[in-house]
Amino acid sequence: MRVLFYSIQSALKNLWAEKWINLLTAFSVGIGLLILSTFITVTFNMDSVLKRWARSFGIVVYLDDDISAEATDTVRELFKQDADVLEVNYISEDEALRELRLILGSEASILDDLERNPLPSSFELKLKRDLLIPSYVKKKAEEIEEMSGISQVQYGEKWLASLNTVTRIMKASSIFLGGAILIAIIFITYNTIKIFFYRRKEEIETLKLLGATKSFIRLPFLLEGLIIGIVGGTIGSLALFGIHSVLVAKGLDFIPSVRAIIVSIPDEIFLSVPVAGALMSFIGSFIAVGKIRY
Amino acid sequence: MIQFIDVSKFYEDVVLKDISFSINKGELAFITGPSGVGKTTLLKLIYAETIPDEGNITVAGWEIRDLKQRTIPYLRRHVGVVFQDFRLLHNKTVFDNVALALRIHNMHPKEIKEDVNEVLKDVKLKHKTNAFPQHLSGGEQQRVVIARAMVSRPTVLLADEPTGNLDSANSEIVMNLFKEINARGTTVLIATHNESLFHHTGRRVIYLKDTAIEREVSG
Repeated sequence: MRVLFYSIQSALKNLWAEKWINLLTAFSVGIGLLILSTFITVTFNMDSVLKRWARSFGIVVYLDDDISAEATDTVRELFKQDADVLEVNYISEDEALRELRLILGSEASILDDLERNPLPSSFELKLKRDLLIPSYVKKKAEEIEEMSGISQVQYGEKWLASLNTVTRIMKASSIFLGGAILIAIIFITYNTIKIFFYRRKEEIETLKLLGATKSFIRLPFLLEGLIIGIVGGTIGSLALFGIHSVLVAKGLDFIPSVRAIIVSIPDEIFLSVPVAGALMSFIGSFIAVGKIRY
Repeated sequence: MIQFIDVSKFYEDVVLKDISFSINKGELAFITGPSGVGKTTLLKLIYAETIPDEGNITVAGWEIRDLKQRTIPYLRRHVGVVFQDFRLLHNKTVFDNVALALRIHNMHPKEIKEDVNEVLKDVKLKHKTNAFPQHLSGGEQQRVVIARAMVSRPTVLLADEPTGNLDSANSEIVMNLFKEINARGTTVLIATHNESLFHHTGRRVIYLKDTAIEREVSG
């Protein structure tokens, strides 16, 4: 405990003695984390938007014209029992015609000349969110089309494929960018601590000769890295909060489309950023200090 | 307390060859010989900065050759060393330089303060407690090094050319300090080429010549 206390004291003194280089390192860490957290925030919000869009995605199942009421009920029951289906909506022939009239608006009078309603009754199915994979939905649609009483199955094939591609690209970018920035933070702290380590080489040699253990020598350097990471992460967090506040307060008036991608920041991110900074900087310092040999 | 049995050390050439001697507990002895004869290497072997290529060394019950990396610090806590080049930390005050040896021992800050103040009084540097090493004279710096070496009350104290950079007055002060430390029971081994340090002292002197012990003169 006393060693830890002494190491904290020593780390703080050393950080203060090299305050400018440390501040620069903390800012670099902060900027890296700000880019990362901004990207995570955008991804988080985009994901929410995509989820909202996905909720409106449905498969439209058109029934045969001459399907009986009993057969319609059987089909409905089959859909309700299907574990993949989240919601089943029945649209009768009359409802379909009413909707068409609404869509046509003032042009709806052209429907008056029809002798009979040409529209079929249908079911609109909402699939579970995690099943909205183009290949799976296609297979599902084909299966439904094979069922008795079904005339045709339609769904937004291209739209679903685009949605899926966007989600995949975002996830891959998050992993790639996140990994690259975290490695950069490790490298930034590694460099700074390595410089300090070389500058204090004589001090380290003296400590070794006086009987200091490896942990006694290492601890102040590790704590320095940790503190740099926490400070850098806090800078990143505050900057993210500041940018978000300004965007929400002013930016949305000028760029309304921003609303689509920056709606909210998950609260956890404000704590996660300093923790990530601390962890990455600690790893950087740990590698920089390396093996101490007597 | 210190025992060398057929110890040899090679770098590119032979530095020490078949060295055997022992220093008893509570003894104050000298190692002498011309520059480059291996005096510093011999001391380094004692505090395990280097390991013998042949032979065995025992220091305060520790077998140097059997030491693992992680146990070396614990041996060094029993061996105080007064380095020829002082090895003081210039960004720390006199107090902090001396206190460092006790912080390594994980001592309580209150005890550290008491012990450091006491040892600085012993080496007549109490008034320089808050000074930085670069503001001290050579003699004063040497006394800080001695204070740092003795503050943890080591079993063995080694000194490598302790008066090499000092005038005769400061040399005498430093030698008297070693005698005082020895009188408290610490085994002291001093490596020097300055014969005036051990002439007429009645102490044992080990003469090194051409990588080997030439002769031993008992006091």
